[in-house]
Amino acid sequence: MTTRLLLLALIGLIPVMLMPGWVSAVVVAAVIVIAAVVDFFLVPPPRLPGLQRTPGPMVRLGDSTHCILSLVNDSPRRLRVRVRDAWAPSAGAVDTRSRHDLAPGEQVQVRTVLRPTRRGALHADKVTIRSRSLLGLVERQKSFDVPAIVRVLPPFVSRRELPSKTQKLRELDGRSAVMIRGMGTEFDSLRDYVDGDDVRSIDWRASARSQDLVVKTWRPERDRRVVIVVDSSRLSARRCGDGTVFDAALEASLLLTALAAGAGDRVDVIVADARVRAIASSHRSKDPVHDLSVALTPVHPELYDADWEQIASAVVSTSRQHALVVLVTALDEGSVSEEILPVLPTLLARHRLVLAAVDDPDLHELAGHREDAEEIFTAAAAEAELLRSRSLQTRLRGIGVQSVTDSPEDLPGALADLYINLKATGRL
Amino acid sequence: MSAGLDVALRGARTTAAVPLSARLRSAGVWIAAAVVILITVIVTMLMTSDRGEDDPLHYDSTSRGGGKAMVETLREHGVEVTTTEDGEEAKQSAGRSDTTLLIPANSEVLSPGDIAGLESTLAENGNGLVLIDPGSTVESFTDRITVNDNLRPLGSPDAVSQPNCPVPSAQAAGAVSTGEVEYAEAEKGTSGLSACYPLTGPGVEEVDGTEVAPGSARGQLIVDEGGDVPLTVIGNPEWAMNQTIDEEGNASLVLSELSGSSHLVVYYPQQSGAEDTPPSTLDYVPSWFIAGAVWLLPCVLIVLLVLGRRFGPLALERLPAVVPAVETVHGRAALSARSHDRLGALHTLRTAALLRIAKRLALGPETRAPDILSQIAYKTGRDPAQIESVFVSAAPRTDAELTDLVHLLTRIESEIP
Repeated sequence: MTTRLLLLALIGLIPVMLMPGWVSAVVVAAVIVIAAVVDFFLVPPPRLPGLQRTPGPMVRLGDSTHCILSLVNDSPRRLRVRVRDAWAPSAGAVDTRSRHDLAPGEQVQVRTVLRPTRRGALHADKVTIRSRSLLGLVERQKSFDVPAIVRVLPPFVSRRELPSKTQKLRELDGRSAVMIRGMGTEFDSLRDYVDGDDVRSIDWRASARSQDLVVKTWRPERDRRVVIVVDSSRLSARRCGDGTVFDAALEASLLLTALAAGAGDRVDVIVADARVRAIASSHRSKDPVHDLSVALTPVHPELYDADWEQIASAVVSTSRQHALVVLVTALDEGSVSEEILPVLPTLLARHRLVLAAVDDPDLHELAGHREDAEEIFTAAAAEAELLRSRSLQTRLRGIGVQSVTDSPEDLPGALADLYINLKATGRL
Repeated sequence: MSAGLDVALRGARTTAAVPLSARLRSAGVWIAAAVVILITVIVTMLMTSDRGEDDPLHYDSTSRGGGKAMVETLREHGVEVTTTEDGEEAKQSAGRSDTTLLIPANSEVLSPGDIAGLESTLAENGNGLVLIDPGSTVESFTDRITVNDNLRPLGSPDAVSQPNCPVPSAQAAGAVSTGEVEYAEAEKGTSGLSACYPLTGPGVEEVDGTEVAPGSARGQLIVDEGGDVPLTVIGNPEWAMNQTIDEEGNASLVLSELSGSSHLVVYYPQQSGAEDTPPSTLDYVPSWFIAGAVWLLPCVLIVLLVLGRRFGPLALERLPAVVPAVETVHGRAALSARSHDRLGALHTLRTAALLRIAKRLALGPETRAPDILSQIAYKTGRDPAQIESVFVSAAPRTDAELTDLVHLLTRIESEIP
């Protein structure tokens, strides 16, 4: 059924109206039906043996990519086809439909532009081929599974904070020696004294050898280990702002990876819930942030509870030497006191622990609305939640675990600041 | 690009077999449509066959008052019975030779023109006409027979009537059940007319001064051979009804009256009135316009099929799990609101405010509450008693009090520099 058949039927209006009556109507209808049936058998069956999808490059969320669908006409007949290159709505395919006239043996490539709206491994849907003959009264269509996956990396919005944090880290050069003399710092080089340098860092022995005053410069300790554990359990599936808590956790771990790898530390990232979902390491990696993004792309939070014993053993097996272990999870009283606290001693025995959690901005908003009694009760419930997480932080600080909570947008920066602070004080 | 990478990166067409359940699911729409159409057809057929079932003496009616038994019995006896509700068809069938036309009921709906047409057709071919209990309508068919009105109304006739006439079929049938109406000749002494089964019994007497003169031939069966059309009036419908046809000699009488010819046309006029209605506006519309309008219906069907055909199945989206976060907070708030736990809510808000104020005033965690309160009073310049009441002692009894107290608490907190 095509618009051509409709046109034919409308043209049939002329004889029907010129000769009103059942006979002429039946004759015209029979002619049209016979034409349609004949055309149906003239239509080449919509089978394209050469049907292939080649996905384009992986992109960060927000950029556009493409996928190329190639059609090869292996049949001896000419193929007039319309093609629908279907993708899931979140893949953001711009124009999925195209029309082709393929001579026998001819090949054509359809380029579909994709503007993904969601992070992850986006699967292509079916390819539908609709074939018609030269007459084009009737079309036959068929759908095929042509698998293809486009990887959309996390957006890494917080990379705009990276230059300022890296700058802060560089400023530590030479200054950290002043703060804590001798401990956890490495001698870097000697240079001439300039006004403003701390007199205590003057190397008198070297100054005596040369004509001018010479100061020692220091650099922050390098080749430390950082292990980031991202919790992908049901607590990370909480909606928070535009995305989920897990998205904010990914942002934080990406920024910390970029910063720490840039500062010469080795970063390992473990994504886990009831099982370990993904592991990435900056060791021997040219672009740790990219590698981590690729590893994290297909991971989405699942509605399981996290198995912290397994996570702890994964951390221990990842790094045998002293490391900074960052747990990006939720400050949920139940899970922290029953699941995390029992495994902390094992980790604390060898590592320094930091717990990062996303603060729900909705809670603060609810706590601020106090117009009528109903809102006051809601505000009280929200305040109770906030108090609970604050008391948890106090408890954690009591056993030597630092914690940082902030809104989804600010958590990456806050975690980076904590890392810089630890590095500056030589406590890594 | 190596071969292995090529395979990993690219996807080629697969020909996965569609499982039977999926096929059934996709065919479900069509199966459902077929079932719906089938049910519609069956219901329509039942509705149409229902029609006429309750009409008295209808040739298809199997109810007590119907006439199917009579028609079927005639057919069994070799009479070729044609049944119709259409006047034109009845007229056409009555035009054959050796035919009798039977109008079992509803003869009053026929117009004088219809009657004249039928009678002229019958007269041309020498065919007879049989009416069953036509009432006063009999005068439209002939001016020789009329309803007998010269009997005393209080009479109680016998339940069984005797023939009392020389008509052979009546003689053969013998006694029959008695009806309520009697017919008589319009003019006393009409030739060629015989009347059978007159009403008899106690109180049945003729009176004077009526249209039918006393002494006229009268009876429940009138056989008139003398008119333009041989006419038989069967005055009692019970003789032909399914329920009573087997009583007395009813069957014998009716069957012998109707099997006089080899063809019988049973015409059951219907109160349609379609032929009488004035011509509708449709009659003024030119036929080419109607033909075009009707032709547009299949065109619309094609439009629907063209526009409604989906270009492949809907694309699937695999959504990640998302949990609404603040639901628990709303749930707890609703619980405490329902239990009117004002003090608990106020306590939480006080604690949170005190902690925030202590942080802002740079007071350590070991600072005691009275010290914080005095600091607040000092910073805001408010009455320490009021501060103490708001932050510690006041207990609200109504929601309004709670609201006022919390508003004051929030204002004091905002006054801290």
